[in-house]
Amino acid sequence: MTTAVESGRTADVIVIGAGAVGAATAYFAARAGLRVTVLDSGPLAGGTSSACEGNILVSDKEAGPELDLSLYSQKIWREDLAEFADLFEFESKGGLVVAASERSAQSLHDLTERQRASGIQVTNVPANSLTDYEPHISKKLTAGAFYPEDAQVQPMLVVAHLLRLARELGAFVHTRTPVTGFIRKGAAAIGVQTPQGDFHAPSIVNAAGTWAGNIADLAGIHVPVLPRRGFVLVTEPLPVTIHHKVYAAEYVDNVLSSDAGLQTSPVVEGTDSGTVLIGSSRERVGFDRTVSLPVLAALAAKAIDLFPVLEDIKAIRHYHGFRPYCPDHLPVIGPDPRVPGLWHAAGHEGAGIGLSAGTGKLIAQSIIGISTDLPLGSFAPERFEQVLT
Amino acid sequence: MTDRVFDIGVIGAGPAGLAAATAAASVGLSVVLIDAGSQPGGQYWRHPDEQQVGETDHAGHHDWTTFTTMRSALHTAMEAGHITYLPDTQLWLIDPVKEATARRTLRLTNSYTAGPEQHIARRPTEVTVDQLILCPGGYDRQLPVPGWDLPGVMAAGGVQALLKGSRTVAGRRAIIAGTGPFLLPVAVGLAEAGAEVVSICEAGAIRNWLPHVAAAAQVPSKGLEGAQYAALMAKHRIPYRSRTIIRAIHGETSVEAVTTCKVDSSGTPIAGTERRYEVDVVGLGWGFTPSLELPVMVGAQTRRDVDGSLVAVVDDQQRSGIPGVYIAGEATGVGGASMAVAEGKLAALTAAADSGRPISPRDVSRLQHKIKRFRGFAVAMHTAHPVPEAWTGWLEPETVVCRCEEVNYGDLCTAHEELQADDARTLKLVARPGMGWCQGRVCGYAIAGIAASLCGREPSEEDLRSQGKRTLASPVALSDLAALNNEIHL
Amino acid sequence: MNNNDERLMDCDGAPLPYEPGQSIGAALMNAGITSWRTTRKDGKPRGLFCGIGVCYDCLLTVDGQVNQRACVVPATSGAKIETGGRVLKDTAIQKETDKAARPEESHD
Repeated sequence: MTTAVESGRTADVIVIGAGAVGAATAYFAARAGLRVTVLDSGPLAGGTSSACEGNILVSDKEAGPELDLSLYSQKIWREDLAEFADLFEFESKGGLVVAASERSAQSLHDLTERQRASGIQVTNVPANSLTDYEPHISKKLTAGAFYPEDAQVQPMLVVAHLLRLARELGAFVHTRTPVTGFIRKGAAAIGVQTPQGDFHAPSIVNAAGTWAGNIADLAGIHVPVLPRRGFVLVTEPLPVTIHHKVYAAEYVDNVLSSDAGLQTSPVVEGTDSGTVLIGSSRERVGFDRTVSLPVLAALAAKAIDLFPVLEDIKAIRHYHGFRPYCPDHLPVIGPDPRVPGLWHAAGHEGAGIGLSAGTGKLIAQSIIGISTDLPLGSFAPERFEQVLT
Repeated sequence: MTDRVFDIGVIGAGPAGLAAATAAASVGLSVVLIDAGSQPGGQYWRHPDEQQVGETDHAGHHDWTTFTTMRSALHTAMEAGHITYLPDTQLWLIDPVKEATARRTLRLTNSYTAGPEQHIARRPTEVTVDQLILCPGGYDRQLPVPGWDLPGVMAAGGVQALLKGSRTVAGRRAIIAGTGPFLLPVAVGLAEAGAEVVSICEAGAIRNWLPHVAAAAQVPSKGLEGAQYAALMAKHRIPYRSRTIIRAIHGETSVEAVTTCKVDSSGTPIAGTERRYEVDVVGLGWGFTPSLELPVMVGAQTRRDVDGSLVAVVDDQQRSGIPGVYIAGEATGVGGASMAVAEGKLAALTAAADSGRPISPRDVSRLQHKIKRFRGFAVAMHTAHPVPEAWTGWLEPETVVCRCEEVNYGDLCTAHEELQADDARTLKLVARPGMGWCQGRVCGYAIAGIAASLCGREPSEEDLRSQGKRTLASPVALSDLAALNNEIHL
Repeated sequence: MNNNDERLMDCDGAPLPYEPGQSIGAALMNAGITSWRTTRKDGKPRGLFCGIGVCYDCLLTVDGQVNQRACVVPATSGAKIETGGRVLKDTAIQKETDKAARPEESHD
């Protein structure tokens, strides 16, 4: 289906970016009765949304604004979007976090105490019960914790279906239509320029993911969204071998770390299509797209440590993506007081798929001017301005 | 092995690779020749395992002396220590270059890990080379057709490989279909081996050849081949039906019959021309398409060739544009073994010249002239045997397109109509064709064509390249990858 | 290799003869076996397709090595072939299967 680029020239909302966050924003805005036009410089989900694992996690969060957003987004996935769950392979598979040493077992135990107090459901699993969850898991582990709320989706299908649903509500989606500038009226943004012509709307949402900083630049403002590269190894299709998302306790530390150097921690999970996805790595290397064999080797070794049965299994491909992160590891969500008419919904780092549903709904609420279900103060786009000056 | 750096790594020991390796050795370069097969020759000169059966007769082979001459040169160079030959070895990753050099480490694994001991002995897991000549060859190009996933349906090249490599006849009653001159040797080979070939179905019109006779005449050996096949087809009473396709393949657990029909010049089936044949083997081939994952992996430029396949761009001396990387053979555009040999030699001479060795400019221009002539013939052949433009019209919603992930044509139509998948890359990500074991090698060309036809446009280089990119050049065991964990440092 | 008795493999417990130089896939075809695996989603039978190692349709287990391509692995005397698309080695379930088939062998 191709949409004539003449459609949606004038809209209530322009969403820049056809990834998960943009698609959720478009869907919730359209559902609120707004006329929406989505523009993307590339194809559908051309950035990080098609190069990730589709995680919807609470297990890797600690108390704070991101956990609040995670729990809120969980609710949106499970209530507002429940009827579409099968379309994008939503699976509430649960996450199993495992520790490999006594020390790590203790810190996992402490983490679960804090998380429980923050409202996360978690069950501590003694070492000898881990095989009840994962029959093939290594016998060398010391403890585990099970998070029943952790879920997974097929992110490409999330994007494609949410945009389809938005289009059925009147939205227009134009791929390969890069935004090259903003149309201003005084300080306010009232439209965007593209090589295919101008588009006008009183509200414009910057949902450009890892490239959101570039869009902000076009509006003459600073939003520090930077890439943090991650590789994922994909195995041959297997019968169901790994039932949950399984990862090592060190993953949580790496997620929360700001280290520029390479970090790898094993994250292993099966998918609907039978492949097993093996992550995760985090490096700040800009948009470097060259393969890193040391990363792939470390991922393979660590996955075998968790699941010795994977030893003979073949990797058939790998991919990489660039997580959009902000220096304080919180996303930017909300209106930008520096440019009236411009909202941001970006910088979700490795949690963008999980947080997309909640983010989309909050942005829609903010645009139509009703009070948002969650306060957006912690995600304010201008917060970095104060740090800089 | 890991300490040694070779002047040149040649990937593939088919016509182009053998020519490249022996030519490079002859001008004094140290060469490592890496090939997934067990003995040199590639698909074109595939022959039974000589360690098992000794030298056999090669009635089915053309240019056999070209091969044996190069093979002798290979053995001589191996004995002299100029060529290190690694058969049964699969290249799965080419490391990115470090800094400003063209030096690359090639990551290797065994092609297979079961079978006779001499074939599964552990090979080096890496070699380092200063220059690289990629001669990856190609394989049959496929178009899906209803029922093509039934056992007994094979790539025409697969039928031929069984005959040439294993001296095994794929069945008793065969039909060979698709387009291109390669259908003839497959049919004749089967008939000579005792099978009944009920028909060759050629989608093109034979008279398409006439305008291209002039081009063909410049490569006399091709004309002779044609005459030989015509005689053999007459001898075995193999009917050759042009403008005919297989419309559907029937059977429960294996092939039982096919329905053929006539098509017009666009490839649209003509109602009322259906014929049914009882067969137990179907050979399908729509020409060849090159293995492009290695050129794409090193970042070489690609283009859509005259036959519609994705091929690597090279200059008139086989340079890829990536420093230190040369490409020869089918990967630069399907053109047959003779051209591949010339390109392989030229690539070796260019690599030698680029690394400061004296080479004869006359040799270079002689090879360039040869290649130009062969290329003219190839273009004529491709033009005479096009993939019919209306081929996607043969598909039913339930026709399997991606055999690995079992994605049907209907799934692709839905992805396009409902989910706005408007290019091959998005179709792949939404509906999963090309995501399985073979990573789109079999269905990639078809997916690009389907994407384009759903959008009412021509397939683009971008459509093809999205299907031709493979981040691992072959599957690799996680334990092999993990073994590198202790060896590699950041 | 002069004796025909030596040119036997074991396919799921049944003797499978082969000719010198044949691939395992060719030996199976010669024996009239055209498929030896079913697909993951629809359970469709699969055997040789490309015949040259490209398509991975013809996977089977040889001497305990899973996912070998029948079209490229040469037949060899005494090779133990398992059809049916076994995927995992050394799992609880497949250990049971192996025990039944090869009681004398231990697992690595």
